[in-house]
Amino acid sequence: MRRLLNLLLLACCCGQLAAHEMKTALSKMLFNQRTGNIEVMHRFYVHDAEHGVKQLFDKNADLLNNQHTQQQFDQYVAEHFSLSSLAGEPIALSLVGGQLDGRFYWVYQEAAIPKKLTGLRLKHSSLQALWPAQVNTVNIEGIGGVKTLSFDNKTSWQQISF
Amino acid sequence: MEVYSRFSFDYPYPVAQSVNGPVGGMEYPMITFNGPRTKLQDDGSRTYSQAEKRFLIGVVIHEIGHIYFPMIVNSDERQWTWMDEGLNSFLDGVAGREWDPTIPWGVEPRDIVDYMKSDIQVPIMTQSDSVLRLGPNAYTKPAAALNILREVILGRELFDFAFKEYATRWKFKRPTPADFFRTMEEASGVDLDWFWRGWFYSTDHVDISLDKVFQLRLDTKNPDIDFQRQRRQELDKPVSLFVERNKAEGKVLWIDQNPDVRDFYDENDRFTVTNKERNAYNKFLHELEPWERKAFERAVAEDKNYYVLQFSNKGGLVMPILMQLNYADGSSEQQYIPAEIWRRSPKAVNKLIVTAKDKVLQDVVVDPKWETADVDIENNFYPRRIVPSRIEAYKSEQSKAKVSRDIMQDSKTELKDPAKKSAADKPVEQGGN
Repeated sequence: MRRLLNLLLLACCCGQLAAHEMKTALSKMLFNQRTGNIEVMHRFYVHDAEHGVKQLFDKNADLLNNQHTQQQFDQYVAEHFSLSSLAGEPIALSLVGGQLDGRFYWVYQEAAIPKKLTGLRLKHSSLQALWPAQVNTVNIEGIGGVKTLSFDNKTSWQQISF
Repeated sequence: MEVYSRFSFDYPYPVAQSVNGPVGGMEYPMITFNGPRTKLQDDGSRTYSQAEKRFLIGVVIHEIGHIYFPMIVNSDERQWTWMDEGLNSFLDGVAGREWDPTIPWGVEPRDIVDYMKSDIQVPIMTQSDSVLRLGPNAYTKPAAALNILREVILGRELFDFAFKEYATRWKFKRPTPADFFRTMEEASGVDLDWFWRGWFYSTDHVDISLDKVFQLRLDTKNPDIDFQRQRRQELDKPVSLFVERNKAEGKVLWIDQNPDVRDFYDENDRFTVTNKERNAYNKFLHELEPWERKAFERAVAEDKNYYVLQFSNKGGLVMPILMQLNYADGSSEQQYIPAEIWRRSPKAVNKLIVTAKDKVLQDVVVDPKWETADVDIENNFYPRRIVPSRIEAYKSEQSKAKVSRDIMQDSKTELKDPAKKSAADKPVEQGGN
């Protein structure tokens, strides 16, 4: 009976977005000509990421107060965001760090801007194995206007040309 | 509920319940379900994290708020999710910041910037089953828009009155978006068509760029003053490098070697004033009406600074221009140009700023407090400034950590031999145990 009730409640909940949990991440991939780097800045809602780490790592994971959890999450995001050239050669990004800022948790990565770049292939699947509804959006900036790619749990690699 | 009733009407029902359940948050008339639950520890106590506390406060405010919108002001949730979620997210932000502003509640204009500049979105005014991303589209963007409408465009007094008018006029009725837009305009007495068009019907974003500032000076028309000024301007230009090097080599000019080729024009330059110009000036003064002459003489005597500011609208959304003018004497001034400046030319506008002679403009910052959701901060500065990216800022914070070392104290540290140290430390350790 209780299980049935829970299921019913869950069904109601799925009908509409629960307040505050956005299940979205927004990343900014900036071609920073000043530093010569591709800078990737992933922005997660703390509410999403905080619940995510408890399911991904262990129940006591604490994104707000535990540095170890933060590093684990940084590493997790780094492993779920990939970049390659149009020909498929991977572009290795180094993990710069993570940062808590108000309602957001940021993860930073970077790589030197490759020479002769005509386009990029991207994939961003953070948190999608946990929540099918998770949508990760990437704004590519600093190379012409802003270009946007959106990744849901059905999208794999996407590409853009410059 | 105090805040919600201040923005709408007295709560008309006998109860408003919040049941602590396993869901994130869900609303019904007079009853809401809100998570998360506390955690039962082995010692029998119940605990929760700070984040869970914040989440629960926020979600209770939000879901109880839904009893007002849309349970009483009964908009169609399936058609226009933003009418209940957007209005309610705006109000839960107001209530939250009155609860404790140190908790990051969101709905600040800066939070929506990255979403608004992306090139895959649909307008807020999209039927909700077709909305691409319901979170930012139905919650955050309309809430941020209303926040800007209240704080930047209408001001709190007008906005709060108009919003209350909407709520009371439409309680127990079924308003559509047009009813909201019309009531807000009617009650505030402000034409907001441009605002609804940009924020609700388009996917444009705010990006106002200050492209150029140039200075003008009023001519006195008096040739004895103006010609001298023009001569000065000519002299202030850098000398030709060619001529300078010739001089350095000690070359003597032909006209100096042969004084007999010199004539009138070698002694009088093209800025020489003759009575012809003086007569024209006197005639000009004579033909002015007395009031014109008075105004002209006053303007010449004041000799104010005239600055022309050239703005362009790169994002498409028209917005008021908020400016901070910084002067060479260290003072600064805030100026507000209403959005109506874009009325006849939405792509680019010029604005003339007149300052007293001793108020010399040094630089200008557009939207210094990030109130308008402008997506590009770099072009808000004239002259331009380098705005570091988040990664650059993060790295420089890390390197600053080294600055905080107390090297004066640390340099007194004695160099230790690790082998000796462990031997010396041993007895202490034993004592400790």
